[in-house]
Amino acid sequence: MPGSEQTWVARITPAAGHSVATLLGLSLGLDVWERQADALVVAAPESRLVELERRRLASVERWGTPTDYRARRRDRSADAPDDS
Amino acid sequence: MASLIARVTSTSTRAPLARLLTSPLGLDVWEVGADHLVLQADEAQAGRLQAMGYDVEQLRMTEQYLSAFATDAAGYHTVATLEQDLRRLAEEHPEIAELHEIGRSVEDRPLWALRIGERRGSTRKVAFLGCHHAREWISVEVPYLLAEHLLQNSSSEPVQGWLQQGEVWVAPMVNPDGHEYTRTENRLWRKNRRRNRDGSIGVDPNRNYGYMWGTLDVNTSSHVPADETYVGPRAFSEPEVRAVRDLVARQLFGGVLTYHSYSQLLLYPWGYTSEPIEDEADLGEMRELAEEMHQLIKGVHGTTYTPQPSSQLYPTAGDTADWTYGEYDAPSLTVELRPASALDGGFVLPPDQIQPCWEENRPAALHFIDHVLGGPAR
Repeated sequence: MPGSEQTWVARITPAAGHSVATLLGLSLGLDVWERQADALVVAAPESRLVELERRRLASVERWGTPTDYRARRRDRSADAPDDS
Repeated sequence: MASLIARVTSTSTRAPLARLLTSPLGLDVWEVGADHLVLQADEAQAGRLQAMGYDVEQLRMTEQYLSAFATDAAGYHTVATLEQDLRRLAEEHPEIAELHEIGRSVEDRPLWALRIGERRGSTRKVAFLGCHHAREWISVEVPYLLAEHLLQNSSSEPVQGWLQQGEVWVAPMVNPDGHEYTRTENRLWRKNRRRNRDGSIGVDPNRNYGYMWGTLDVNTSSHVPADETYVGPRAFSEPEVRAVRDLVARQLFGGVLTYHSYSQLLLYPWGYTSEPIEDEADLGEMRELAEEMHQLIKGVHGTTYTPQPSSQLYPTAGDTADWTYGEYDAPSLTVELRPASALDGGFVLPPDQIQPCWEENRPAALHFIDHVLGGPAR
């Protein structure tokens, strides 16, 4: 059940023979945050990411939980100068 | 005693993680993973866990975490402060501003739109919308600051001319329930707060509009209620979306711009198909408009917002811009605001980015107004 399992913020890169469009066309309930030229940044439950790996559709780089992600964002914004 | 936030793991069979969820240790468990827990504990509790065989990694002190969270939210509107500020704007400029309640949310919060213009019933009108998606806080601030700018500059050109001949409607927060939930419970919540039949929560308001609604079933337009992009049980099932529908139907806007974040993009229809708009004049108009806005944005701080068809980002059936263009022929753009990537902050844009984000979007928004109100009547 996605509702009760760990969610990850992850970068998913299509496997050889597949494309970013292939990944977008799936019905896996990925929460797509960002489309890059060669990958997607998504939030998704562990089982969905495992499914992508099991079906050899994509490689998955787990960046952390949403909580980890937010904590890192706060740390970074506290350290970074304003670049605007 | 000082409280800390810790990540707890275990490689020891004598210290299974599941035991921590049921044992009466007084732990405040925040997160449960397959291989770890994140919890809040005082130093004595943390020491006890280590003695029991658990690995305890301190992430932050609780006070530090809470102050960071406060900093995170400072500078952004809440549902309440947005209403206060919109009321104040209307009261300070009664001759040209009127606050309208355009509908109510699932949780019965009012949805506000500010009408700005000298005359009522003008035939030239443009709409700016924000915060269909709860976690996209910057998408509240840019349209709000636009409204403030128009009112503060209503006596000087070019704003005065626009407000004499037309109306600008600004609805900065289409999804107040979701926004409130991101502030109090889950900063990364996206949808509204509809309770679905299967017990899950939320419909994606930006998949619930009635043009080509439900024609896709993919990650980015899903028919599974628990998914983040759940399209809803039928088009316009959501009161927030019906409020926008009814506003658009009443006012017949000549152009609609809706703010989102993030990725720094200027998106024009279609979202539901990768085929280009058939009407070449319409396509050319929106593509050119997006290109001009791209140049204007870049001219302020050098930031790049890439113009492209919406489907080039990803397929979306039932989004706002497809509907306002598909149903009303109104030039319709979706602006994905700062930042460019997750590594630059993603949805959690530091508040010190609000002002530069507004500054760079100001000339583009004004250009959109000029295009709609200053061009030939539609």
